[in-house]
This record gives sequence, C-alpha cells and structure tokens, in this order.
Amino acid sequence: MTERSWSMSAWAIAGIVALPLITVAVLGVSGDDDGLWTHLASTVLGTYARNSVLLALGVGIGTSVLGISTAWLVATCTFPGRRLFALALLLPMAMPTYLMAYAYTDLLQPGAPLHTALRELGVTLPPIRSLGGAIVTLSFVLYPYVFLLARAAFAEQSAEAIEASRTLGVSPFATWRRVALPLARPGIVAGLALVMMETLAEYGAVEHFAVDTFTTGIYRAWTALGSPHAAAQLACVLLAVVLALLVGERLGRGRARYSASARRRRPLERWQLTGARAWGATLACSAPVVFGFLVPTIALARLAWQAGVPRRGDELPRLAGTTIGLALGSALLIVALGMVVVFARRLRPTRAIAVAARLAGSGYAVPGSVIAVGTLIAIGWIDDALGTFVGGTALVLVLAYCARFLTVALEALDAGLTKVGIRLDDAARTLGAGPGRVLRDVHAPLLRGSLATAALLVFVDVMKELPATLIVRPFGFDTLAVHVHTYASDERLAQAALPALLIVAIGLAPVALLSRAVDRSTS
Amino acid sequence: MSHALRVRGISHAYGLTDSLRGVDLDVAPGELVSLLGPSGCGKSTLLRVIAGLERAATGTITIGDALVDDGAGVHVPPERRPVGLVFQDFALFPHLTVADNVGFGLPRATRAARTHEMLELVALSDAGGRLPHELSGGEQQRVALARALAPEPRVLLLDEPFSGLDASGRHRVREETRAILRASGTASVLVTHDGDEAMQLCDRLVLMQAGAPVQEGTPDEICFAPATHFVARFFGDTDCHVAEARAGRVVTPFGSLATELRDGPVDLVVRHRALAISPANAHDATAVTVARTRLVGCQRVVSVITETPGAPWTLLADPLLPLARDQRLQVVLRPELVHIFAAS
Repeated sequence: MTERSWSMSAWAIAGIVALPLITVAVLGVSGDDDGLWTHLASTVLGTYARNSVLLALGVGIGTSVLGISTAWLVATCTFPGRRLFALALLLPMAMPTYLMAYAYTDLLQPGAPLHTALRELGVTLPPIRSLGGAIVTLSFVLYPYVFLLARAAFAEQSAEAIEASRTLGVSPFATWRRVALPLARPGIVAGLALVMMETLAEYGAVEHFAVDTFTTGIYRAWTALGSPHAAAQLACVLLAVVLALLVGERLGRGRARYSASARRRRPLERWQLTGARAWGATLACSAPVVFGFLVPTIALARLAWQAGVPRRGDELPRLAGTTIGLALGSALLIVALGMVVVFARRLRPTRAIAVAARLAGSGYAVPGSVIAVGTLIAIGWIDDALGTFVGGTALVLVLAYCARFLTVALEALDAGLTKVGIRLDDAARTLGAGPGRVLRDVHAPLLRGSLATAALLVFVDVMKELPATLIVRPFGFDTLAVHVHTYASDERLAQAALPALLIVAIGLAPVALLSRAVDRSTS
Repeated sequence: MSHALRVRGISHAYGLTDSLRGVDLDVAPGELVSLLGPSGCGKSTLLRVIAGLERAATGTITIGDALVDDGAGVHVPPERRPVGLVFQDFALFPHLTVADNVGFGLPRATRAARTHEMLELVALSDAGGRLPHELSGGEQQRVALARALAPEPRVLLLDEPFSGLDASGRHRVREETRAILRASGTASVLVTHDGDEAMQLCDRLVLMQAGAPVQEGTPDEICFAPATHFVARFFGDTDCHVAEARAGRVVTPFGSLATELRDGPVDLVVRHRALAISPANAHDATAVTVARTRLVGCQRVVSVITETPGAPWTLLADPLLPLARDQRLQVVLRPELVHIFAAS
C-alpha cells in the first residue's frame, strides 16, 4: 500500500465515527416531527436538563472529595496499608455503574435485610432510588479517574516547590492549598472531565433509580415514542452539553503546563502519619473500596449463592459465549482499525490526517445512546438506498462499538508508538522497506504489549456497554449486560447475579493491568 | 556518469520558515563530503530530503543516473532510493539481533552471506547474535554503519553519527569509520557541526548557513581563504577587531596588511595562532603588555594590550613559559591567519 492509500483508509475509518454524529446533527436540526419536539420541550426537557446537570455536578463534587483526598494520602503520606490502597482504590473501576445501582437497591430498598437492620438501629436512610442515591453510587465507582490522575500529579511534584513555600513562612496546610493543590489542578481537571463524560453517558443506573436524564430520554424517545427525530434532537442537546464540558476542561487547564520541566527533581519526602491520623487515613482510603467494590460484590455474591448452582439448560453459557464472541471480535477489529489510523498519521503527519485521527478518537466523549441512535438511523438510510439489510444484524452493533471505543484503542496504541522512535521508521525506509513492511517487521513486534493492552481495554468496554447495546442489538440478541439489565428491571436480580459477577470478574482484568502500570511508575 | 549524487536548487520549508534555500551539491563516486554548519542551518534537512524522508519544494535530486526528486511530480519514496542513512542515535531495531539489523535491507537470497561480510568489515563477526542494547556506543555505531552499507547504496548519508558517543572514544571511532568508508568506496555525505570532525574525515567541506551553502572547498581552502566572516569564525578561536582600509592597506598595531577591499571600515578576524611571541629586539616585532593569562586545556591563553588604544588581543603561548601580569612581550602578527572583511 502506498502512503496515499494509508491516509485514505484513515479517513474511511474516521467516517465510521463521524457518520452517527453527522446523522444525529442533520436529523436533530432538520425541522419538527409532528410537534413532538415542542411537546417534549414543554414537558420533560426541563427535567432532563435539571437532572443531568445536577447529577454531573453532584458526581463531580463527590468524586473530587473521594479522589483528591485518597490521591493525596497515597501519593504523599505514609500510613498503614498505603501500598495496598494504591492498588485497591482502583477496584471500583471494575464495577459498572448499573451493577452498583442494582446491588444497592437490593440492599437498601424497603424490606431488604440491610434496610431493616438499619431501621432497628434507628437509622433511616433517604430513599436510594433518587437523584441523591444516583450521585452517591456513581461517585463511589467513578472517583478512580480523579484518583489516578490526581495521584500522578501529586507524585510528580518536586520537593523544591513545597520547600520554597515553607521557607517563605507558609504553614503546611496553607502550602497544600496554595502550592500542591494548584500544581495538581491540570490532572484533577482532566480526571473530572472524564467523570463528567461518564456521568452524562450513564444510562443503566439512572434508569434503575428512575432519575430522568437525557440518556433515558433518548432511549424512551427511540423505543416508546418510536421517534428517531425526537431522539436525535435530544441527542443534539446532550452533545452540546458534552462539547461545553470539553471546552470547559480546556479552559480549566488554562495555560498550565506544570509538569513540562524535564529536569530531574528531587521527589517529595513523605509525611509520616502516626497514631490517630494514620488510622484516619487508613479509614478514609478504605471507605471508597468498601462501598464502591466490596459491598456490591458481596451483595451480588450473596444473591448468586441464594439462587444456587445454575441448572442444566441455564442460558449463562450461551450468554457468555455470545458476549465474549462479540467483545472479542469487536476488540480485534477495533484494534486493527486503530492501528491503521495511528500508522497513517505516523507515516505522513499532515494536518488532514491529524484531523482524521482526531475525529476517529472523538467517539468516547459521545454517550453510547447518541452513537447508537446515530448509527441505526445512518445504517437505516444506507439500507434503504442500497436495498441491503445491515440494520437487523449484529454488524451494526459492531459498527456502533467501533465508533464509541476506537478512542480507547487509539490511546493505547499511541502511547506505545510514541515510545518507538520515529528514526526507526526512517531507518527501515532507507533500507528499502515500504510502509507495509515497516508496520509488519518494526511496529508490530515492538507494539505487541500495546496491541494486547488495547484489545483488552476495548474487550472489557464492549462487554460492559449497556445503552448502545440495548438500542442497537438485533431482536433476541442478548449480552451479559443486557441480560442483567432485563432481570434487574424486573426486580429479579437474584436470577442474574451470576452473570453480573462475571461482568465484574472480567472487568478486573484491565484494573490489574492498570495497577501494574501504576506500581511500576511508583517503584 | 561522473556523479554519485547531484543536487540542484533544492528548497524546503517547515511551515513558514525556509529551511533550505536553493542548495546545489555534487558528490563524486568514492568522495567523502561534509556538510558543516551550526544547528538549524538546514544541513540535516538536506540529508533527509536526499534520503526522501522530506519532500523538497523545488529543485532536483539525481542519484547515480536516476532522477529521484524534481520538486513536483517525481518523488521516489525512501525505500526505493539507493541511499543508506546512519542516524545520530543509530536507530538500531531494538527487537532484532545485530545480524538481523544488518540484514534488514538485504534480499533473502544473499542475506546471510552479505551480513557475514559486513560484520567482518566492521570487526563485529562475533557479535551477530547479540541485541543492540548489549553493545557499547562505538559498537552500535559500527552496526549502524554496516546496516546502512549492506545494501550497497550509491550514497551513504551520515547524520551527526559521532555525537552520541563519549568524547574519549570519539576520535578512535572516527578513524575506524574513515577506514570503513574508504574500504567500501561508497560516496558519503557527513553532516556535522564539528569542524574538527569534518576535517578529520572528509576530502571536501561544504559550509552552510541559514539554509544555503556559503563556501565549499578542501579543509585548507576553507581554513586559509574563508569567503565570509562567518566561515572565518567557524573554525577555532578568533578575535575580531575593527579597522580602516585605506588605499589597499589596513593599519594594525602590528603593522599594515594588504587588502583588496575598497576604502572604508573593515573587520579583522584574527586567529589566536596569528600572534606569536618573538625573541626580544626582533626587527619587525611590536611591544605589548600582558593583561591576563589563564591555562585552558594545557594551552596558555594570553590577553595582551597594545600601545594603541583598542580591545585586547589573544595569543597562545607555551604552557611552560612563565608569564605574569604587566609583563612586556615582543610579538609578531602572521598575516596568513588574519582575514579581512568589509564591515558588516
């Protein structure tokens, strides 16, 4: 393949991501559908907007409190269990938000054992199925984004900056507030942006808690109202909010490039916490792990135990097979496409290819429900025009996953490829290797680790994805996530507890990978 | 065919900044040419354009008989140009053994034999099975050289190939490289910012400044007949003094020098070797006073002031010669090491 055909391929792949976005935008602004939009605007739109914004703000505050405090403790102090917590605090990443909602509802709804026990102790919790409940449960599983980036930001701060502040007569706490925290701001803001994006894209938990947001609205407009127009219009509004968030993140980072100094700096001396303070730190770091991972896992395990061993003819093996096949196939395809984009940009770093790569990597910011609606409508148009029938097959599901998760593959591959010096490509080229051979004989062997990482991350994301799968899946096509969702919606979670645990178990794989990377960067 | 490489009118720009402005360069078969200049002068860019890793905006490049670039329709990709490139950081493939690195650019049929031959040439026959990171810097450099020479390129391009090495081993590696290049008989273009390196290795130097060659010639020509102020100051330590040209003569505190410049202000670029201490009472010597002496790398660097007002002059003295501040000396100026340019 020539350089030109590589860049054409990159553009074609960017098109897979761009297609649903353009479709939603075109349909969203192209007039009204029988006055449905006016109706929606006057009735539910206000609620959707209020709930979505409050939810994002609430989860933002919740994850900030949990993430920044634990990150600072782990990065700059010593206390019992610190090394363990550096890894354990990542565990909630394996817990999908919808499973949090199902597990806590099961524990805390009126009549549940824990609810009764608390009541006998005289404790009455506010109802879990509420906006407040959604904020708390989401905060407990999404804080690791803030934790990870803030921890890195605190850890790389130099002792000099802190010491300079102290020698200028500023107390330790004021130094933290005036030097350490502002220095960590870019990392914290980046983490918060990820949290907010996840929150706005969230579907399973808010739906279970009956908190109406844009994502549940889009799903309802699509299925109950059967109106692609209304769904696309709601999706447009949601996209505008996400866009505002991304702009906000840029502004929040400001001109800050605090970590730009390449000079080797003396690392920070850790605060030796003792006595009550030390145990307080241990307690503070335990809480998120307990509530964000252990409690829901144990709740699910208890349910699974009560349900007993699956009987012969249980659908779990078939479900697991479908899910793993779908996730594996999608992961391999997405990593291959990602490699083409990354390689094309490496081959000829022109502005046009940079734009294509940007576009190809923009899907993760777009909520799954929006991508789902956009993909289905676009494929519907294409099917109508060509007389094909892609819309009713699992292929359209794979396309939607490509659009949403290409970002994940691109980031992992990019991170790997930047470590392969560009001079190696030049060397191979001047030795007579064409682009294809550079990819095969130089990049592929050097990127084995990154390729595996990318595939694993995409695999788990596809396996966990709920809203896009719910909307796009062909009739009768179930994944583990959809299966659990269906049973939980029916208040029969016990019968889906085992598949739910399976999702958590598979989700632990990328967490293990991440913790290994974290471990390596700290030691 | 009289040229291994012929470059005509090459221009290139990174964004809005011109990096090359109409460069011509000819290299004869077997010749060793150095592109020399400060960083940012465009010498590395020229090398990358020749290799096909960058596209020229205008101009033509011919390698052997083949036109590989005409700044418009023709742009042969790097893998189909008969060039070899040795990189500053060597760019050895970290996942391949030394032998596989050397064999990377060879057709399967001749790979084993030719690899063996090349490893022998660079005296690394025993290292074929090792990985690049297990070698010393000098050995890595030889692998890079063997790898680039293995496919028998018409032109070998070397981009600062010694700057990644320790200062202590550099001199020896340069000599080895020179021997290997001579033995292979390949036309070579060496890019460097180090004048000593260029002179040690190459037959011909091309000095570049701001994207264009300013002078080319043998080391002697460039050293003794620099075309511009810039070239004169590029090699070694110099002082710069202002003076006046009048009727074909320039008056200095050490006597007058002949010049072909028109009357007007001139710059004198004076090599530190130009002033020499002479025996007392020599008839052409001038008396000066020592202002300061210091030992720099086993050379005694002496600043002296003359009786006519002006900036101090520098001379190099025998390190064993006892010299003190305010001591009087007799010195002579050797006009061959003074270069006169119209004041800029």
